Amino acid sequence: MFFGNLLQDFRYTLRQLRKSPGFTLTAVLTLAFGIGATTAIFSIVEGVLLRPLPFVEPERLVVLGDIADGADANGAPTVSASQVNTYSRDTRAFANLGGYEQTSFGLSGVDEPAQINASRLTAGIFPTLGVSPLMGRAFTRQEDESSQQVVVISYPMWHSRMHDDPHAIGQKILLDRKPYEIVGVMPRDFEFPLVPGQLNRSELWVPMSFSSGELTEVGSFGFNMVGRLKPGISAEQARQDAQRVAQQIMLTLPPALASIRLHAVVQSLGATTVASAKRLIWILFLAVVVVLLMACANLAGLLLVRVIRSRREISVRLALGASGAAVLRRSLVEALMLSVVGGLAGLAFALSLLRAGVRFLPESLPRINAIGLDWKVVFFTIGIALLTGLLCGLLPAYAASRTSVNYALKEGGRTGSTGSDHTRLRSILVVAELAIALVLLTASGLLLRSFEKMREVDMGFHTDHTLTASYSLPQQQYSTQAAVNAFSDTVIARLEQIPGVQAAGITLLLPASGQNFTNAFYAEGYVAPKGAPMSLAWNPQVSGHYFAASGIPILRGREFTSADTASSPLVVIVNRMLAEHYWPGQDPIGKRIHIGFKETALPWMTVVGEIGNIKQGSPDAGTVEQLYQPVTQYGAALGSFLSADTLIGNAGSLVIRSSQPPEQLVNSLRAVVRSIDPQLPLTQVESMDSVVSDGQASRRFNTVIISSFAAAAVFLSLLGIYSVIAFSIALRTKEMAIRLALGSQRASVMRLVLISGAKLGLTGCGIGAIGAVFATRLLRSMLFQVDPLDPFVLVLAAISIFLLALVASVVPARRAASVEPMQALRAE
Amino acid sequence: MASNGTLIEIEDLTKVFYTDEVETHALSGIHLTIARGEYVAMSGPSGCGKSTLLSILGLLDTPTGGKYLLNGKPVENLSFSDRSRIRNQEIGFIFQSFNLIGDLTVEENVELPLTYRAGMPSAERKKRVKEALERVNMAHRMRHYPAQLSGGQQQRVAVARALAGSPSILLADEPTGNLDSKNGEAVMRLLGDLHREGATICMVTHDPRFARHAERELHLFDGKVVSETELKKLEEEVEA
Repeated sequence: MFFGNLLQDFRYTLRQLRKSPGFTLTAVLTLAFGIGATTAIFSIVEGVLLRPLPFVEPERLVVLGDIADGADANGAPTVSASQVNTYSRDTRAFANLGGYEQTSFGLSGVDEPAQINASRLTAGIFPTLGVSPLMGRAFTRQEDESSQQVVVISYPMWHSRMHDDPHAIGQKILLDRKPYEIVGVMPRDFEFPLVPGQLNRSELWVPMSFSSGELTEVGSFGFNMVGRLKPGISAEQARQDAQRVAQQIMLTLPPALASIRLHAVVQSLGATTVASAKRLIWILFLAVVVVLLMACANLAGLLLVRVIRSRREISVRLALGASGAAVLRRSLVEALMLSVVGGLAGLAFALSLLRAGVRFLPESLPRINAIGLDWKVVFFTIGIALLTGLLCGLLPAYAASRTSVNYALKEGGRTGSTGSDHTRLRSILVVAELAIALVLLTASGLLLRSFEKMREVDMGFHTDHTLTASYSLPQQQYSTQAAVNAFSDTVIARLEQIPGVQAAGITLLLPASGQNFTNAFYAEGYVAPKGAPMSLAWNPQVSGHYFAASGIPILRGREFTSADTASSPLVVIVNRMLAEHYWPGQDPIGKRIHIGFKETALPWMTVVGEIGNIKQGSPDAGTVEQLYQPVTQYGAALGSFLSADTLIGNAGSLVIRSSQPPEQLVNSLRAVVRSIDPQLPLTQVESMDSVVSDGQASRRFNTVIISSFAAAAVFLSLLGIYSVIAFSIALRTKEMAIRLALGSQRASVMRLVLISGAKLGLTGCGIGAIGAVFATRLLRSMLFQVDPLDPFVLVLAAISIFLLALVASVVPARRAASVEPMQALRAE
Repeated sequence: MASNGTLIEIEDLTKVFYTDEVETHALSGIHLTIARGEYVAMSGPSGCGKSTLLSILGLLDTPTGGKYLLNGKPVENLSFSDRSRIRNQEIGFIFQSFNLIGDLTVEENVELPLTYRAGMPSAERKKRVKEALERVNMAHRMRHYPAQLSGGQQQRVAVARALAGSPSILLADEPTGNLDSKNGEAVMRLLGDLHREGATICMVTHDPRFARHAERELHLFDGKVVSETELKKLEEEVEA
């Protein structure tokens, strides 16, 4: 019986929906948009935050490393090469433990030569992760320790560069022109390390095979570790175990590093991977859910109109004996049918959004390859569609069930009400929509203002007319420091011969790129206050006319010259922040510093120049203290801290300033590099403006997406206010006709309607402003130089919403004013 | 037609509407009995309480005071759902404006009250619908929609809908109000036929020609049942 009636309700609803294609299409599209956007964002939430890491028992995987006393506690915990071995050997809390380092190789011998991202792994990493290769095997401890040239390649590399060759195992590829034998191909979804973005993913993995230099180098903490906890061991127990080993390590540190205090850190790999993106993703999800709720409110409003229009039919049903539940059911069936169709359309919409949109996701987002539509997302969509149907249908269903049964006996014209109760319900919906739209618009305004502030940031250097390109010299070809120096000198000299080129230089760290390399240092005579953080400086080594090429003005002193050689007195250039910190109110020129700590016996370097505060990362990131050295003196400055086999300057970025637009210089740059080394690939060939723009991508993404949601919210709320005013005017046609018949001016009628719109707008803005005050606090971490309660943004957003509400009321107001009194009265 | 037992018994029934601070006595002290198989017409001037009384008889509304027995059972204080159930089983409505549902076919409109009746199989419903439509000579229009019918035909469908559930009483509210005289007469003839076949009918009408089709005529004036003589006197007083 129940199912029979339900089926009949379905049939009847389907017929009614077919008869009003305009309503049906509007409702389905509104829901498709809301559900589709929610599904797309949920697929990010699911892929990035909720889906377990693609490793065996990922909850047991942890990151292990050290944070030195006084260093940035939020920084990634890292270890030195020797510590990788010590922790692997001496800890007891881990079932497996391994170290890794991201690197890059010049790949040749397969497909097109290219510079690719890769990782060096100790043999313990694969058992730690618990993932077996799709084909072949992982490398062994023996291969790692005996520096065997074997490689495990990724599925994407096997697919795209080796064209799914089933005989890939055993083949050799050239990495930095050295032959490596492929021993394994990892599964399609294997990714390690789980780095943010799409550009830095490792395409292959080679044995770590620490060199003796790496193992003896002290003070270099460039390696990461990942471990699998033994069953029953908590992260805290593992940390205590690691701290015990850290105490032993500290005892073995050389006297030059005696003041270092190491704190072992053990963090969940999953949490660490997504930590930076978590807040943004949840805010996006919240924003999209709000937009979906607004779509629901709009549809509920439309359904309510249908209920009002079919009051007579409902009352007839009630008069014929329909129970309140039967009326409620029929109304819900309509909403559910619409939401299910809207959900299916939304799924298709989400699929297209994801297909087109994944490449636009910011590089700061981790696990991008895990984002997609899987069964969990599909179930979520079905669930959200049903929930949406219920949400949209409940209010109209309630209104329907409250229809007066007596209505059937009365003539609509004689006793029918104007549906004022229902209009009030719709007005409440619209006020809620306006309030939500104001909150989102305020959020969008704050982000836009932050973006504008970020664009106004002085980067500390001139970004125009500058071309950059990165390279990494293969060790096989450039095995000596002399060979590396020869390449650097030649490339700079030839680049400066290109017509129009004003200066060329090389740097280890490109400004505004986010590349990071820091060194501890000691400023002569400086007494650190108790508890002060360790003295750390961003430490690029440069050559050629780097400062001129980068457009970095020298504020005091001089630039490095060719006279600054390994055998000449050691010199440095510092930024203003460092100078003001260590020599406040003094001229830094002539001051002395050395690498390491106070007790470290390394040669003094004299400050010969001072520059401004150069942005080393995105414009909205803080600037740190900076210390520039000529690449020729870096070895001397580090003395015994640097292993004998370390090559300095074998990788870096070329910077060329020219009178021509940088794009026109690309071919000449490539030709110069080819003329020196025809096989050397250049990567990230782009203008400095583009480098700066890349650094803005994450904020741009946040701003664009929140603004898109805000635009959708504003549109939906305007649609809502338009429909509620238009409908109430349609119900009041007779009233308007009477007013006009009694001598009212058309302008007065129009004013009457506009006042209705204004009242809704004001109420919505009032509630929205209160909501915005609380909601925008969530955005605090995403704002830059803008207060979450920025009065300019809040007032502008409120005025915009209010004016738009008035604009949305204009059309119904004009319609009301144009009623022909006689015609309307006769129609009654 | 001879009566065979009391169907409706009303004692001292009142209905008061409260609007803001105004108290309107729509019905006061109504005593009424309708026997099974009886054909009663209710008439009176506008605002006399005819439709209010019909609403209460049809369980669409509840009285403010008094007793109402339907089939010997008190129904004045029932819940909404109980009233719905009894309305569905015991009462057939015929409205002035037909109140057919435009999106349903003739067949579906007539079937509608039966779908609200728990446990009735589909085959039984179809059979009753066919019988009811044949009874009003509209079986040939089963697949049509109301908009495709004339006013008279629509009202015949509405009568079929009221009959389909085999109710104890048919309540008709100005059933000819929206029809021309020819169609109006046809509907009245149909009601007369139904009465002769045993149906109990209570009809509200303001047209004396149609009221005469009934066995008994009740006159309402200012919420009270009055005799025809009293009604004339009261009307004359109002006119004076």
